[in-house]
Amino acid sequence: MEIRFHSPYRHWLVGLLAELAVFTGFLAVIALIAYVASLAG
Amino acid sequence: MTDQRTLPVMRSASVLALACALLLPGVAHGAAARESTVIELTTLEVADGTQVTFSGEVVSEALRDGEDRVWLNVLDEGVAIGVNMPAEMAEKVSVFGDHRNDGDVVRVTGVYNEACRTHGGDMDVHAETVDVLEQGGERTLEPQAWKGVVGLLGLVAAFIGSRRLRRMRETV
Amino acid sequence: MWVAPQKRDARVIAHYTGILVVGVGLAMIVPLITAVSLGEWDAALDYLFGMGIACAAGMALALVSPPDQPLDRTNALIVTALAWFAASVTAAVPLAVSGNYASYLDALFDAMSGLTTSGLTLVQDLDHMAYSHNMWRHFLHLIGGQGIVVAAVSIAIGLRGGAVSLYIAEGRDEKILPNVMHTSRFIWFVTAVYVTLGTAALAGVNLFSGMEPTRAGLHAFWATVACYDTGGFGPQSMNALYYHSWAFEFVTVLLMIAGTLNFNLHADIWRGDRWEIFRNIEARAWAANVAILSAFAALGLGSTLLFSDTMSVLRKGVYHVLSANTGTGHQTLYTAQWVGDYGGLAMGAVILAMAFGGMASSTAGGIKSLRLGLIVKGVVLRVRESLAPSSAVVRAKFHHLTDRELTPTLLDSALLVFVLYMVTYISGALVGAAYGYPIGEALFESISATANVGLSTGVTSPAMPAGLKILYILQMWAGRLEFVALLTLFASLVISVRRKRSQRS
Repeated sequence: MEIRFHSPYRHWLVGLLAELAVFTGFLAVIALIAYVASLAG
Repeated sequence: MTDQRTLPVMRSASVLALACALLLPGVAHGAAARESTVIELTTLEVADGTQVTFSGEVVSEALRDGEDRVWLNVLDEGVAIGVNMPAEMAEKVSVFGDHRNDGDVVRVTGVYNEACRTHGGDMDVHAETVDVLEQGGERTLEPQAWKGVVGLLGLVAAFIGSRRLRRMRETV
Repeated sequence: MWVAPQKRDARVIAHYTGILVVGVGLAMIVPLITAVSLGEWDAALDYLFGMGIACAAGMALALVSPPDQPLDRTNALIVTALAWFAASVTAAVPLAVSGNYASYLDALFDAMSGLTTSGLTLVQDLDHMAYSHNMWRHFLHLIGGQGIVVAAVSIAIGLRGGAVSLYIAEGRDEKILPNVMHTSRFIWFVTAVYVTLGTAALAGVNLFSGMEPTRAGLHAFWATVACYDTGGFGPQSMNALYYHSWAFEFVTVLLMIAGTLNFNLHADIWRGDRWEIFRNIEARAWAANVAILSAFAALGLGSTLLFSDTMSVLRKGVYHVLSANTGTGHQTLYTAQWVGDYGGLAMGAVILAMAFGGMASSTAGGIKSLRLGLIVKGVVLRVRESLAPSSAVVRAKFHHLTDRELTPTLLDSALLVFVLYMVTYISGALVGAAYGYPIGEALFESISATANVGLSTGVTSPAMPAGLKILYILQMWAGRLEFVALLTLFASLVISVRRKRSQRS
């Protein structure tokens, strides 16, 4: 499926999914850091 | 920043909590005669893990917690607390408080958790008994006509003003 | 040079402010429709009343000066600064007559808090509030967050110079895209996509929890708006704790991060440049900031008795660091628990997260990570300069959408805003302490107001002194505008008063 927005943002859906993937990945990393830090606490 | 002031509080709170954990389970059942308030629970004036009894209005709805447990939210003096219980225990409650209704007033007896391990650290009460003290009912909501009258007058005035503004734009 | 404003300036300013007030009045159609469709007739009259007052008062102001007068830069700054106050004064009217506020001042506090996407609240009996009033409170997050001014720009035909200078005044002075119309259209597009997605996801979570469909949908929309616009209001007195759901917290945290992302960055990624997010100095500084503060919060919570298990560390520690840093202010703790249970180290981490704030060109508040990144670069540059031989020219580069050089001007403006935030944080805390609140709580609340966060240790309550309510209103206002526009407004007031006095003598 391709949804067309005006030209420069043709890739908005890919961009959106990329953002969500990066956010989720970032949360996973932060969770891991917090887990390790809490063991030290 | 807050260390100097909070540390002694924390230390005494932790000592107290430890003491409660070790000593109270046996005593708690006998000591449940006095009723607490939701405010006392949420301002940490009650020891963690003790049995408490309090009452308040059930608001909003019963939220599911897994297969067969629910959350009721009990409101008293502007502060609400989540009460976790088996689903069938909550069936006694028929009216939930919202804009239209005052909810049923219930008395809850249960274990107070300042940070519940089974619920991600949320403060809650795990109910043992719930009794409906008072059936809820409709609240009296009286639409005040004067607000409508003032509002309509204002809109008429604004409409006249907007026509004047348009005329000003045309003459400029 | 100090230029004294003329009478004509005052009229032009009044005209534009009036148009804005009418706009806020017209926006009340949203809660009005909500009230009518849900049969909340008492609340519907509150909005009819509010609309009438707003439209009449706004139109009276607009008639002070003939339309289509251009705005110069100074006047644009003043209009921007006044806009937030005028919009709050207007938006507070229906709230004040709702019966959920003790006074007009309390309603004004909530309106300012809503529009500046702070989230501190003085509402009473929230659990019995009408849906339409909650719609209005959350809708304020949306219109304030996406910028009253941007909204004005995107709706009005407004490409006559005036609108452009309004946009510059709002503390979002980076050039996103070639023109204002394009920019605001893009901002609304990203917002629409995220709000739709977030509402759908949260409605699913709420339905699964057993909410009835209308409530599930409304709560989902409100929570989405409150998180994506980094606001922090909630429709229940328990705020985010009401839902008792890790899924709810997970989705809302994603929305908070999306909301704190620089719109330029969104634009770049949505144009297809997906690696920008990893190279961007601001995104890097933000990620490092959150990682370090989360680690400190976890370290702190790990040594407490109550929150040391993994789930608590994540849902009470990391969650609140993110909520604080993005300027959202959703809270799953009771206010007394900050001091009582949370521990000094973790609370310190949350305080710093609030103070530093999210990214620029977003709805986040606080000092902002771009400035922190630049300041750190600046410090490194100074050290390198002093190590280098005196004849060498030392330069620092950074990547923010394009490769740029760290110039003294850039560093100056970052440091200036940093200092202004710090001074405001601390002075607010001192005033709170003077009113008799413990200094830790006073500092927490002062930062929360200035950085437009909304977390609270309980100082903010209907029972607090009126002076402190006014102070927090001013702090939310100043923080949202990043000071300069508000200082311009006050300076021009002082100058015109002085001029009058000298004319008399």
